[in-house]
Amino acid sequence: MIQRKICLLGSFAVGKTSLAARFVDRPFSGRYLTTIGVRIDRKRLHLAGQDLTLLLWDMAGEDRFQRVEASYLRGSAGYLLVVDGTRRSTLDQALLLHERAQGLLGPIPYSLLLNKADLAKDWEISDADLSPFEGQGGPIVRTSAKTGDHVDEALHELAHRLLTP
Amino acid sequence: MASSPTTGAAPASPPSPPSPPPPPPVDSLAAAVLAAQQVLILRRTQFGSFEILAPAPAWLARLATFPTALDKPFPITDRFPFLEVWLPEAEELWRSGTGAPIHSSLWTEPTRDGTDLHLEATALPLQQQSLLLIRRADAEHTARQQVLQLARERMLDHERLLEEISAKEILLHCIIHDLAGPLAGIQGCLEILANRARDAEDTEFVQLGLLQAGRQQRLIRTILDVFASHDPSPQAPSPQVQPSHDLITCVDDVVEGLRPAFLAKGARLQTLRSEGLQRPGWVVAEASRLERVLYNLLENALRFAPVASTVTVHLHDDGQWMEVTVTDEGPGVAPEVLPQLFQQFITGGRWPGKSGLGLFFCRITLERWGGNIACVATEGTGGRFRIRLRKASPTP
Repeated sequence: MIQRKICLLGSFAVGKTSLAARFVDRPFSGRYLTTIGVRIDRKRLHLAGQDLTLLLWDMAGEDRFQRVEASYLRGSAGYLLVVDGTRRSTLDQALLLHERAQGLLGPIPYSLLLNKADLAKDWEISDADLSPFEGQGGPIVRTSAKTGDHVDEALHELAHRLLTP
Repeated sequence: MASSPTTGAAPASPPSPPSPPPPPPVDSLAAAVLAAQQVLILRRTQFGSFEILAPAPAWLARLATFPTALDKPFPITDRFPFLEVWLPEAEELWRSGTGAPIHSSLWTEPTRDGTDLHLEATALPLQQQSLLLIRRADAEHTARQQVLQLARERMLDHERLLEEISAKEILLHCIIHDLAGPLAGIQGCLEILANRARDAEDTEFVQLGLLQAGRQQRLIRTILDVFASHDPSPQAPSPQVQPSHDLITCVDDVVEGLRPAFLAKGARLQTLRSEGLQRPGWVVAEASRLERVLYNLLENALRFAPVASTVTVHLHDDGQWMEVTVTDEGPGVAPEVLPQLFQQFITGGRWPGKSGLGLFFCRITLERWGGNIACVATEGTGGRFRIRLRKASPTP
């Protein structure tokens, strides 16, 4: 059995815990409940003929009150950067976290998830806003933890890259 | 026991210390107390694995990572992956063999029944044993979550409120902009009427209409400029732009433009220049905004000037600065108003019927050019406002 650690990083209230719930088939709750410290879930996958267990580290959101502990990133094989598409400021925060993670872990696989895609009328992020992430090797995926759109696909895609030498 | 799977980094494996003495037995009463406290007590073996010492608390069996009874030492990070990031710190304490216990941060593990367990670990060197205690920390978790939740919900409310205000400001901006549209037409008609005036009374009324239309136009521009001062968009004028304009000519133009209004009120308007003042008086300023700054100051003076009093505009060369002082013989400015005098929306009391943006506009405009404004006389001595502008070369 292969085991890999994946961190979910992002500002507060972007939907990291809701995405993690979707990954492990827990029911979606629309109520925002802030994460304290870290929550660890396990997801078993069978990919490319191999059994894989993903340890999903759902980290507390970063803001002026709480900072992501750099030591928590240790041992990560990849990470999911989560942004709330209806709050432009969460993209800036994601960029900072991305730079910190790359500085600490090197160029490991990651994906940028633009979450809350179901709230299209409140969308605040344009294609131009995403230019800092262009050409960095991480796909940009619009997800909705509420409807489940592209959630599993995003995780499977990252898991595939973790298994690719 | 299944063999240890791997994460990206292997669990910390410090050099094996000399074999510690066997653990002292846990008597049945102590075991019962510990079980009641719901604390999992583990001892680190010399090989880096951990064994459970006392009867395991009930919560342990609910964890998805504990499928079987653990009667043999096991790698702790297999069961509690979170500890991988904290164990190096604990290992240091155990190696030293003394010192106060250290605690991990809180973390959350899901259970088989779909609920969450909030846990905290403590490392403790005791009687030459390396002990690890893991306990439920629900109360601490709830307390922290309540505080942080409230703070973040307030922050989200604040963000939403700012967005609403921004949307309303844009709407207001559009309304004011549209209000300015018909004004040019009104002014044009009044100018035609001025040329066709049949007598002095007609001329007086038309001139009054033109004066008021001009005031309204300046007021609208002031409001739009105040909006622009909050607007970080590229359309807003850059503070780096350093236009220049002749201050003396500008003062003369404004004084002439307002002379009819002073005459109508029965007040006198005079201009004084310090000895040796050279024309032109180039300053860092943009012509139309500088004109509006001066109009604001003189219209304020006119509003408070008593009948038959004099408003004096004094121009002075102060080395690197050019100064304009506007003095009236009115009631002056009350000391309690002074600290807020140049803030926006300061109205009411002694400043009735105004937008509350005039002096604010003067301040932000002058500061943008590196100048400043001050009220240099207070209640009982009349109003006196002084503006200072940096001297400049003519704009090419």
